[in-house]
Amino acid sequence: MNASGGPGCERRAALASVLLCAACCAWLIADIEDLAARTEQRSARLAELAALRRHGAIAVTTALQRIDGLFAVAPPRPGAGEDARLALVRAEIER
Amino acid sequence: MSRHRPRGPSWRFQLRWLWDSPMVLVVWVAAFAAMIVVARTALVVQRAVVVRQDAETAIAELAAEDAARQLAARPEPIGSDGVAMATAAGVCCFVRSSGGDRPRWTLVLELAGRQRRFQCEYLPGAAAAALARPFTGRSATVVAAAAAPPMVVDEVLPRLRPDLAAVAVDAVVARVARVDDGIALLRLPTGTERKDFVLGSTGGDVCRIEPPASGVVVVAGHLWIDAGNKPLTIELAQDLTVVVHGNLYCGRSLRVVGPGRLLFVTTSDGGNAYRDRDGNGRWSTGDELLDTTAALPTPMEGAGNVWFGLPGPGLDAFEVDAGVLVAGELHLATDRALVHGPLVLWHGSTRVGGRAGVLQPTGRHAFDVEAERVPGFATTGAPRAGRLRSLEDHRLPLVGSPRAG
Repeated sequence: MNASGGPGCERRAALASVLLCAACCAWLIADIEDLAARTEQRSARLAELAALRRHGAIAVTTALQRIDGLFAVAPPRPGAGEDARLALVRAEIER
Repeated sequence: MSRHRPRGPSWRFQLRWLWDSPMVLVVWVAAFAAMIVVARTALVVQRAVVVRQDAETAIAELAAEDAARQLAARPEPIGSDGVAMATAAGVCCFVRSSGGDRPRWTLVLELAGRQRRFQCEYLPGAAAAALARPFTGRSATVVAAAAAPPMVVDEVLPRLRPDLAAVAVDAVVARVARVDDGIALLRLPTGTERKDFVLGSTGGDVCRIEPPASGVVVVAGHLWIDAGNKPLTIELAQDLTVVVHGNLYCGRSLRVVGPGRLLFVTTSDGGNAYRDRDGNGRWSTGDELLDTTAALPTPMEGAGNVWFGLPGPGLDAFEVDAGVLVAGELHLATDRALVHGPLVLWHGSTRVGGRAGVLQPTGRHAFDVEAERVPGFATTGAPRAGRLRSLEDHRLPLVGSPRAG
């Protein structure tokens, strides 16, 4: 049992590995929990906005701005309205 | 001969081995920890995706609402090809109109690579606020027993559209009620002077009603819900207003199942209403005419009155899954009346037959008058878009979009 090898050295290495693993896990879990907390906060804000909108207590543009502040929603693709128009016309022809 | 099984290392030896060479333990612990982290990450990411989709849906609804509002304010009608609208959400929304008498708009927009469709009705204005409340009357309305919730006083009560006479067609009435010449003689000592109808196109405790497209049926006479051991159940697919040019007699409770809501409206057209103080169902000494200029009521049983419980036997408890708008007097031949739709009294309520006559309007089936069409009623205010309904179940193929391939 000495520093050059043997069970004592391996135990120390194992302890160091466990500590490293615990630190990594703690860091990852903290990040994940942060994301979870932000998600729940967004969900609550969204529900609050929906309730306000249902009661007509908030304008459409204000509601949109608030959602935009909560989520970075990707801007709509140019020509999306044209796609919608074509899809509608096609669906009506198929019907 | 004994069977010999080779024995493995003892558990003491195995523990000792793990202790002396603990890297195996470390690997196990690390794998377990990694599993926990991965599982938790998956859950959180899944939830984040759901919330993001909710946000996109909310944005799409707001965009469609914005487009519908812009359209309602537009003086020119939508052409047959539809119209594309720019919305406050930055999304282009395509709108098509359909429906003839009852214009409907179909709104299509694409957001975050997904196409969404909504539908809403074009409303010429808002119906009277009383249709959104549990219980409304005028300042002169006199209620016999304390009602809970109390009556809201509003002088602007709902008005029927003036063109309703056009929908008083026998074929349409037959969907809702059937003529019964004998019912009045069965239930009232002297019968009635007007034509009598019984609610339900067929007899029995359950009947299905197919409302006309207008959502209005005009009954030119008295309407009866005949007495029975069980409540009458009506299956109703869409909102229906039944206008009764006479009295409404409710001999038992009424249940409405399905998405439709039912409204009864009595009018005293061509007749007049009175307070039947003795509760005998006909004009007699001591009764009180509501139209003070008339000498006698026409017909003799009055018109525009509503009876919860029939004259004579009455009911211990009465419950109605419909709104009731009473142009004449509400007669309570019951101890307790639960009304789940809007209850509107022009004159008031009278207890008859020694009953307690406690009114309990719940407003469970009230209308959102700002965003919903109430069939048969006049509206006020500016034209508007009705409540948006998502058509997610009828997804369209994404034509021309990258996903369509």
